[in-house]
Amino acid sequence: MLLGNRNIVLDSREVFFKKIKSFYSKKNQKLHQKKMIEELSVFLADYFFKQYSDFRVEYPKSIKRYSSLKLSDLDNPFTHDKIISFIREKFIRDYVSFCSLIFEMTENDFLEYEKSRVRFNNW
Amino acid sequence: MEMDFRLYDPAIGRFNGIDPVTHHSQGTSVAFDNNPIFWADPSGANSTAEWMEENGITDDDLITVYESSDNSEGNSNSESESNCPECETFEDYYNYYSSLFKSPVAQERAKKGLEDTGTGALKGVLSNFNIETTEVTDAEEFGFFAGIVLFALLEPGPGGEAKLAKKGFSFWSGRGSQKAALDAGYKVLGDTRAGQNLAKLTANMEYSIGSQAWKNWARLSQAYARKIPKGSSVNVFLTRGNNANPMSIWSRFERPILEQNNVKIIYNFID
Repeated sequence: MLLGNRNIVLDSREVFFKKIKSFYSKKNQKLHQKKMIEELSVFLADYFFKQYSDFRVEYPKSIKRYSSLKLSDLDNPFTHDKIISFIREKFIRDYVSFCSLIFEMTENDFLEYEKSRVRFNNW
Repeated sequence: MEMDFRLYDPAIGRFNGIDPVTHHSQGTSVAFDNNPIFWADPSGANSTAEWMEENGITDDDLITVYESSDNSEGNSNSESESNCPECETFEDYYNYYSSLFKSPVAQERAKKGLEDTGTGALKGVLSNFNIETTEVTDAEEFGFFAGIVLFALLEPGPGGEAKLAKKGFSFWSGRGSQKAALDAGYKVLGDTRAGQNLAKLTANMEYSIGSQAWKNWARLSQAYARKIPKGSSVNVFLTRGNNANPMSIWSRFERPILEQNNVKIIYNFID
């Protein structure tokens, strides 16, 4: 089983990027935020590529699971933290509307969610 | 460890035999009168507070530390019996525990922490550039200098990239400390698979001291602390308030395990 897994190759950063970009482009259709989605996708593709590479070494039995990006990993609160801090730094004015669109929340819900994450990170 | 009246095993944190001096209100297996933070037992016979006299500490100096450590035991779920009954939000708890520094003992501890930070942080930073540390003459001045160097290096660059080299796992506790650890290129509990799974599980749960989410994270943090190899060194990013807070996961679970495993803790205070 393990020997068979060795032949399973990890997708390239490019494939990660394309998957993430199409995932978020469907959620956020605003034209002026297109560039931001690209920048975010580059950042996340790099982050997940490194993480998947590490996990393939750490968990050899899960090589198949960490061979191509699972979109459910994008819904992890820890990933949300990364997205929020990235968008806040780059996109100060509209970060609430941008994040609420890609997280599929209303703006008020997003602000509440952000507060809860801040509470957790300030623990 | 051999004491006058019985043997003590520091690896398991227990005495090997029963207490030769029996307190009728407690069992014979009890050590330090169930309060190892306040009582000392150098002979193995009876708990004493002689260390206070030796260090010139009076009851008035200790009152805040003693009360907080005593009340914290086993009462984490009860708000009415909390150390700070008026505290409701995290902000309240943070301000409350930060105020502990007003007592002389805590001030001494903070000062010691500053010295540790200075040497630890600067050594950590300089090791990235293969520069040897020089002789330290004034610990406080050195600590201040180290703080400046650390913050200058921790500040993210134009692309949001941390300037420190990528290292292994680190611990964090307190406001902004997780971000400081991540910006410095260290991995945190949330970077592990178990951490991410738990983050998903506790996403909609309330984060407060003693809550179910707190217990789950405390449990995972213990496993994470045990994973650090014995005798190695690890970086910790934390606020002074959370370092003194006996209810923080760092103080209550992670630090004791690391100390027990002889892990060298490099303190990086971010405030």
